[in-house]
Order: sequence, then C-alpha cells, then structure tokens
Amino acid sequence: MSSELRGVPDPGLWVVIPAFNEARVLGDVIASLRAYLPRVVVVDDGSADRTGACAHAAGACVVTHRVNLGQGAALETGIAYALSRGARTVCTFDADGQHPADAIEVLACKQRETGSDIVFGSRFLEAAPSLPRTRRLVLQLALWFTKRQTGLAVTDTHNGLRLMRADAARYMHFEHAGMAHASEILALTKKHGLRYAEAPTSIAYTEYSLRKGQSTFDAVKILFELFYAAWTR
Amino acid sequence: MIVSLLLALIIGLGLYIASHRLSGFQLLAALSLCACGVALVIFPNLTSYVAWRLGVGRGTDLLLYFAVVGGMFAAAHLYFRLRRQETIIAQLVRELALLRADAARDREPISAPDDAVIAQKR
Repeated sequence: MSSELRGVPDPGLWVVIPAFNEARVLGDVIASLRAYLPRVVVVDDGSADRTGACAHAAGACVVTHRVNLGQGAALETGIAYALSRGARTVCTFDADGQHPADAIEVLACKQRETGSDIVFGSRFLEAAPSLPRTRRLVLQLALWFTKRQTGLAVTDTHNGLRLMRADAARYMHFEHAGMAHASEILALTKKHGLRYAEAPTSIAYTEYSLRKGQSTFDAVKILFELFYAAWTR
Repeated sequence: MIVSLLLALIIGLGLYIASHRLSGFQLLAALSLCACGVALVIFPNLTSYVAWRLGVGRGTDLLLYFAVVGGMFAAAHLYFRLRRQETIIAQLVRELALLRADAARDREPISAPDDAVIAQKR
C-alpha cells in the first residue's frame, strides 16, 4: 500500500512536526522533507518568532496554537489535523534538524516488514552514537523507569521520530501536555495492545540542537513528570 | 482598640465575600467562618476552652492546627481545579487552531503542488 520513498511518495503518509521557536532551522528541515514527501504539517505551538511563517513558506501546512501548550499537546493537534486530512500513516518528526529526512524511510520499511501499528526510532540500537554522556545517563534512567512502568522493551523512550498507522494514531490523546507525552505514548501502546517495533536512527547533534535540546534540568523535569504520572494512574 | 480593629476587618471581609454571587452553601460557610472569627475576638478564651476539651495544649495551637489543615485542603482543591482548567484551555486552543487552519485552507486556491509533486515522481 505505501510506496518507496525515492519512488512514488506515499500520499497517505503525513509528517507531523511540533515546533516552538524553531524559525532558524525549520525551513531547511521542511525543504528536505518535501523533497520526498508532500504531506507535512507543522504545529506552531505559540512561537514568538517567525516559526509559522517559515513553515508556511517552505510549503508545510501550518496549525497554530495561540498560546504555548507543550510538545505533547502540539503533537496531538498535528495528529488530529493529519487524520482529518485522510492520513493513513503518521510520522512524528522533530523540528530542530536532529533527524535526517531519510530516517522516515527506515521506519516505513520496518513497518512494512513487521506489520506493526507503531514503529519507534531508537538511537541505541546501533553502536556508539554521538550522544553526550550526561544526557545518555539521564535518558537511560528514564528508560529503566519507563520499562518498569510500561513493560515495553523499548530502548529509546525519548525519541521524537515515530511512525504509526492511522488506527494507532487515533489513540494518541495526552493528559500531560509537556514532555512526559513520550512515556504516555508507550503507555497507550501497551494499553491498546498495539504491535510495536524499533528501527535505528542516527541523530545529528549539531550545536544548535544540543543547545536547544533537553538540558539536564529538562531531563530531571521529565523524571518528575514520570513519577507524577505513575502516581496518579 | 485591637478588638474593634479585628472586628472591623472580619466583618469587612464577610461583607466583601457576601457581595459576590455565591451559592447558598458557600454563603453559609463564609458567614459561619466570620461568625467564628467574631466570637473568637470577643471571647478570646473560647479557643482555650475548646482546646482543653479536645486535649490540645493551647487555644492558639488548636487554631494553628485547623489553619494548617484548612490551608492544605484549600491548596489541593485549587491545584486540581487549575489542572482541570489547563486541560480545558488546551482543548479550546486546539479547537481554535484546527478551525483556523481549515478556514485558511478553504480560502486558498486548490493547491496542486502536492499532487504535482507526486505526478513528477512517477
């Protein structure tokens, strides 16, 4: 049903990009995606800069949150939009250029191979990525905790690159609008018995994305949100 | 002197709260609290008496315990209400965003680029 990326683009595949103040790189990210895939929706999560305008100029559909709600809420909005436009497959993608555009094809291949409902990108499937040590340690702590909570064998819990069938996407409603949505996705996968798989992705830690990416403080915040989510379950 | 000041403050607070639109229960609760406040100001030994009956050391200690517990209830109540409000706000922002996106799409001419890109690749 879906086609090779370098052949005929799959019209049922939508890329959802939550974005907050990413005007600097978003245009390039979208341009590289649009070379393969026409269906890109950017959710401008109350940005103060020209994120929305840049996305629109680069040819993406833009949905704008009037105020900042958080990445989870932005993802949910983007998925709702894609589904309303008839998406059969939804791919979540980071706005800051960490993911290469052809990573989508890797995930799509995996999905076709395994017939999974959702495919998670993982930095830890292949050897020695260029992940800074402190961040790797904190992410692995979050990973251990999530594994205990959700029981899913997932090696990379906080990877923004995921591919899911529309049926699976319909389940993605998040209570926690902030960063803990990553764990909620896993919990929802478990809850609804979705078939999942992982595919390797590399992440380009450009200086920009390192500065913008999760600081250690953010990582501690994630842990706190995970505890809170587990506690209120 | 301090008695008149405290009484004035408590009665003033009571009037201020009652001047808003309140449900019967809320009005009753607010006025009861004010009545207690007035009573405690006029009869300062009241707290000591109640404390003695309850087995607590001093009247002021008793008042403190009630204040702390009441404060925690108030904080928890407000926290959960705020969270509920945030959820509602998120839903509204999302609905508005999607409505505007659809409206913008309807205003724009039917854009062929998507289909053109696909056709090109064939």
